[in-house]
Amino acid sequence: MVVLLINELDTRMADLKKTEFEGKTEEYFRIWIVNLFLSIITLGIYSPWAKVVNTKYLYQNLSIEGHRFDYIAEPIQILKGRIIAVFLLILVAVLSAYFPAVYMVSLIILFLLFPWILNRSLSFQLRMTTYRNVSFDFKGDYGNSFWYFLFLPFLSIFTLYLALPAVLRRASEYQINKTKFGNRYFKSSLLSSEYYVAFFTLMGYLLGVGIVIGILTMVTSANFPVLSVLFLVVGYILIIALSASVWGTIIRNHTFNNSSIPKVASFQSTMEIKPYTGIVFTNVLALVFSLGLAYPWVAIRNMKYLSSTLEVQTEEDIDAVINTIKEENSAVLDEVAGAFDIEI
Amino acid sequence: MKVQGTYYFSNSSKTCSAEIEIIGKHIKVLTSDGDLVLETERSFVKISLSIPGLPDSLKFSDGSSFVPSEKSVRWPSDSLLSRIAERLMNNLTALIIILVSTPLLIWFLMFTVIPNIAESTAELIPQAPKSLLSKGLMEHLEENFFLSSEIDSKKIETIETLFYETLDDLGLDRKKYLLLFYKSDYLGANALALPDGTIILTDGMIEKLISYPDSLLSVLLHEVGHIENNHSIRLIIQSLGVGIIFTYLVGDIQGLAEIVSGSGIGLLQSSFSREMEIEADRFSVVSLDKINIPKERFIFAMETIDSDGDEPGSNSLLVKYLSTHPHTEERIQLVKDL
Repeated sequence: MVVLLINELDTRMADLKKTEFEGKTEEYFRIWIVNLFLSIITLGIYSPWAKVVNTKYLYQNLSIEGHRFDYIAEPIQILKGRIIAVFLLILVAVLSAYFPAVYMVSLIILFLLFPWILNRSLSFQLRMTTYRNVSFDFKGDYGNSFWYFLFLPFLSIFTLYLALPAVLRRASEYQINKTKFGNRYFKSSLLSSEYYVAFFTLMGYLLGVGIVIGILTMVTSANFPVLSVLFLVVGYILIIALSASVWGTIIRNHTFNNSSIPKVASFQSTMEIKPYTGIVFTNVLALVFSLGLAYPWVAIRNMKYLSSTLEVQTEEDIDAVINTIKEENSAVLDEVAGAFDIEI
Repeated sequence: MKVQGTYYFSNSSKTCSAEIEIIGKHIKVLTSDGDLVLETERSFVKISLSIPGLPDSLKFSDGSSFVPSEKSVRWPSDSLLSRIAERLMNNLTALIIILVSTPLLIWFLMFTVIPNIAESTAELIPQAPKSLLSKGLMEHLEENFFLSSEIDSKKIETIETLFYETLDDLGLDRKKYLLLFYKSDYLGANALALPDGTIILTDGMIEKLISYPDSLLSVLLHEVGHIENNHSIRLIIQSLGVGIIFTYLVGDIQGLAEIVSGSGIGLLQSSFSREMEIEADRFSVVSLDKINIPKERFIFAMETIDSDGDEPGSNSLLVKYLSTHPHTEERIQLVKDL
């Protein structure tokens, strides 16, 4: 029995394949800066092309078993969506100047529309993402998205956020279980306990850093004021980095390791807190000190680390997934929702 | 022309390694065993945007596609846009020019293009929304910062007469303006201009300058300058413009946006309003000159207001927007140089 299990584990491990990322910083920097330049001199008209080309570069350089991902959004559709969104924004601004009530009403409408916009936006991002010429999709409905993304998080305020990890667990489970690759749904069952582990681990790290920085600052403040300010700044950036890396590592590992596309693929994520904290910390530093110019470097090394820690095992049906997204021109409403660019 | 790669069937995740053969306008896709998969004409095929380091993929009209294995594969394409962009990305001289000019362009956009657009659109805004906006602001101010004025009515009458007669002398429409008086501990010695032409003088300001009517007048004319130049409306349009630009133009290209959305916009705002203070100062000096009052009276007013560090409350953003700003020394120097 034990031997059998080990054998099975062995074959399972053997089938795991690293996701590969081949993007290069120098190459991406050239693409990114030219796109930024063209967006500015065209006063933003080029920006949808910039978005598509930048995203395509990152997606197409990501591959599993030699097949590249792709981002298939049409720049011209994004442009239309953005023009409509900007037009709506200006319309509301002008109307609210004349009728203050319009502002309140549009806030309420926006609040009520929020789950719908979220659904459309998630669905748009995923439908534009393809692997082996098959699109992903998100099939959330208004009621559930309202419940998981708005109402439960709102309720958790009254528990002094103590229920928040459990709420977030339910929200991501809902989100993953409504995600499709072609005609196949993802399947995920997550544990609230793991979310609490992430929550308390993060709290522990933050408390530790807080105390150390506090002591260092106090000790140095009298005689070396410059040094104490430096400690404060480093501590502040470290806290930002830890918040992203500790939570990100534990939750990403847990969600990937407990999600699959039955008969198509399963995943194994092996991120570690220490190296990832280092990456996020230096990323923030680089962005601040380069006034944003380091962005391509940051994006590439992030992708490199994330792909190097993610392995995928494909199964027998990987060849038999049916693409359900027809290449129709998506409706204007979809474009507008896409223009809000909400990402979870 | 023959190219090796992977063929992706339409409507499913099925793939096979394949070879493409192009003869003139004719395109054939063959499996590695030599079986014909697809035969079509060049005009039915969509070529993807060319991106350095990645092969051009082909999309066929039935939804299937072909991705070359060689990264350097480029098909003869008619998409000029895609070609120009890629050429820039691969040209060192162009890249250096772009790297240097992009920050300058962002600067130019923020500090010249948007303010100019804001200035010309602000002039198109009619009185009705300005009145509404001012009404809202006034309610907020009355609730939070204002008490009834304790200055005696004779003095107030004198100031009113002086103010409105000066407007007449300058050829400005006195009906457009309304002078109001309030006591405010929070604002200290201050004057505010609302977009609809309402000007508010605090008791603190009157107490400081009551013996120097010309100087008090110069402060009022500074506020008139804000109104004549539509400053508050321009600020609103500018922040809207900056918001849109950073959401869409730089928003995709994150990094920059993350930095600017934090402290950056605040910085831009204070710089915008700095320009506006200087513009209002100039308006005051030019107007004073028309009615033969030397600009020294205005300088005296600024020095007096600033003298005991009685800065306007810096906590409320709203108050910051509307009040006289505290970089007095620089402003005094600029007025002297006029």
